[in-house]
Amino acid sequence: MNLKEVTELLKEKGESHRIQSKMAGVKNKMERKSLWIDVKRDKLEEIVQTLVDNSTEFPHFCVASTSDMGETVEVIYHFTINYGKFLEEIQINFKVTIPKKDLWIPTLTKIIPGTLFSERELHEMMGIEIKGLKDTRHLFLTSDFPKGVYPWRRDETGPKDLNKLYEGWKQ
Amino acid sequence: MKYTVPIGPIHPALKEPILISCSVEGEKIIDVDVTASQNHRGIEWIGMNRNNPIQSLYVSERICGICNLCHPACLVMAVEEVADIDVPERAEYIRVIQGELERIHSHLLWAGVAAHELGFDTLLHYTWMVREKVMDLLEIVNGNRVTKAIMTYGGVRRDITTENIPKIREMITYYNHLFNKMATLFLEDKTIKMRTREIGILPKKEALELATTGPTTRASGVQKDVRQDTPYFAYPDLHIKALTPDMHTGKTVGDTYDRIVVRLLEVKQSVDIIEKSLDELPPGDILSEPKIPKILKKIKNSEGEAIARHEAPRGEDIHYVKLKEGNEHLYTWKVRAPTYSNIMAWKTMLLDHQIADIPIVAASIDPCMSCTNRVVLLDQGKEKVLTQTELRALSRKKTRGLS
Amino acid sequence: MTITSSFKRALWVFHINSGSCNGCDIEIVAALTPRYDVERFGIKLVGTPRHADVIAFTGPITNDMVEKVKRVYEQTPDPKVVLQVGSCGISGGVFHESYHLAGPLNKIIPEAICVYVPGCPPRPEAIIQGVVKAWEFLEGVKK
Repeated sequence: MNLKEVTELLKEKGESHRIQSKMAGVKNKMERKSLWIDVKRDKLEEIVQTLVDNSTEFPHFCVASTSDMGETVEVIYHFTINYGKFLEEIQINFKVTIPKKDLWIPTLTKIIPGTLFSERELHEMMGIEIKGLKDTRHLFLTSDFPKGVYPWRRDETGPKDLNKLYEGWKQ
Repeated sequence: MKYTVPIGPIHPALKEPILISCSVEGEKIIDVDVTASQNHRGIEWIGMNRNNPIQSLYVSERICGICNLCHPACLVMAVEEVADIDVPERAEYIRVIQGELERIHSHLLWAGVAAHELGFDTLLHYTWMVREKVMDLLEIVNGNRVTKAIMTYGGVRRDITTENIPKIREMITYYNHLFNKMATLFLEDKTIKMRTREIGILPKKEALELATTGPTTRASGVQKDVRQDTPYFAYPDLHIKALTPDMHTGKTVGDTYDRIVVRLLEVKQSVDIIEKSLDELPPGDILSEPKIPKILKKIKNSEGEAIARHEAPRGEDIHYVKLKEGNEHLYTWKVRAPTYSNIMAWKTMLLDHQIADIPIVAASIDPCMSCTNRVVLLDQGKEKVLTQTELRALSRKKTRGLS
Repeated sequence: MTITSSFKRALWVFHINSGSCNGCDIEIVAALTPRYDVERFGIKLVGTPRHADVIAFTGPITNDMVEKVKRVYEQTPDPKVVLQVGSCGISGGVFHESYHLAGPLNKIIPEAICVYVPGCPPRPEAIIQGVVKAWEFLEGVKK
């Protein structure tokens, strides 16, 4: 599938979409394109399943990243399809916006087992509850890290106990 | 009854400590679990809250000391896409050359480590001696062996001068002579074949579902290589092909032996790429904006988000960057190193194997954050902890038993 | 300094990595390979701290590794010297203000005698000079 077909296929399930590109190469100048789609939380599993069913090889899941935007939290899932052919890969990103008062997201480990580590990290670093995930232990933080402290948040639950070099270290 | 033996990721102590717990029934492994919190330093938090983008560039270099160029390369690509900074042509080729030099040094390092895990210390010393040629070249071109600080927003910091080009060509001839000897030493040896053939198999279906990357997945037959799939730097001119083991041996099994084959072939491919890039190196300047305060101001005023991917020696490295106007830090920065995805494959690879196979299989994915620092054996309710020394002794004993 | 001919001991080194980026570790191992070849002096890496004279230490100490570092220090018999390789153990290096770090080594073990080898990472020649300084110190103690 090329970029146009993928956009047609996925844009009904999502809200808005845009395509971002950047030139690369010297003599053989080409564009590196990525497709960003906004998805609502309850349509997330459906759109990922559509991607899995319609690509020739299994889509490659890269990582899930997250940002704290004040009242809401954005979670972005990064995928790529069409690897294996020369310079034809398409980077696809699904962005889900969830309110901070109701912080949960459905799990994708049943469709793609490789999302396990990403979801554990989202849970420990941002405090998002992943519904359906069985293994919710800490991945990168120690198991006795204080509860309720989420390193990637920008509100009052961010880490306060920093390792200062000496007393009176300037902020 | 549980007792612990003091830790020691020792000689060659290259990898960070990580805790792998294997449940064992007799001698066969039935379950594998990984705890990885010993190495977390809070780098993304530092980049988001404490540093301006130029300082984050130097922190990102120290995420890993072996794959040293891939993290700054991704960060620079992502910020250039958001802030719309141009890169001159000569800088794109120099970035390719630096990336391939790093790949050669990393694969030779890994080859020595793999030989050491099997008990072959002669090969360890031989490979690391051969690797010193690349380290000398890195020092001549960049000024430092490790942590070279060559990438910056808008180009590279140092140029490859005309005096250094003959030295690079000398290195290319040196490695071309040596390649056949290294291939014979590693691939034709009967003991290495017995220890690595049919051990640690990762089938193609699992490799796709667990989203593995790099030589781990290419050894299982998946043709995934960022240099072939996505255009970045000067790779669209160079026509790279993803290497799978059936190009050398004729069949793809997906075991540890295939991973050795893929990495050795990639060293040869990198040497060819450096030679081709040197022939096509265009003239010009290397930096589109030499004044740092101007770059910082441009980044501070831009808004948007982007991802950037680069083929590190261990796999695919991806960074996600989000910038907000008026903010002097990066608003969001997410790093995913290649070993992060490859670790989940340990469980599939180690099932039904013996304990003595753990060191070579664990090292075969080239973990950039590992070392079996402690292995917990749950043997019929009693727990026992082995250190890496004991594991390695078991692995060597098996080699002696075979030959 | 002149090395005396009374080298009775060959130094045995135990290496411990407490969360470092691996840059210093590969330079330590590169010091043992045929280019710099520190093994010809009898210096070798051992597998347990109970046999060691020098503890080669890399990395900023993360929260998880504090207990293990203390236990290793207690298990090494006297006389001993800690060789701090790299700037991370001296002051935290680039990671100095982070939520997962437990401080440089002199916060955790204040009475340790340390030889500091700064650099990020230091060259193998600098590490060898650090080992020689540790050797001088131990020879002084032995007398």
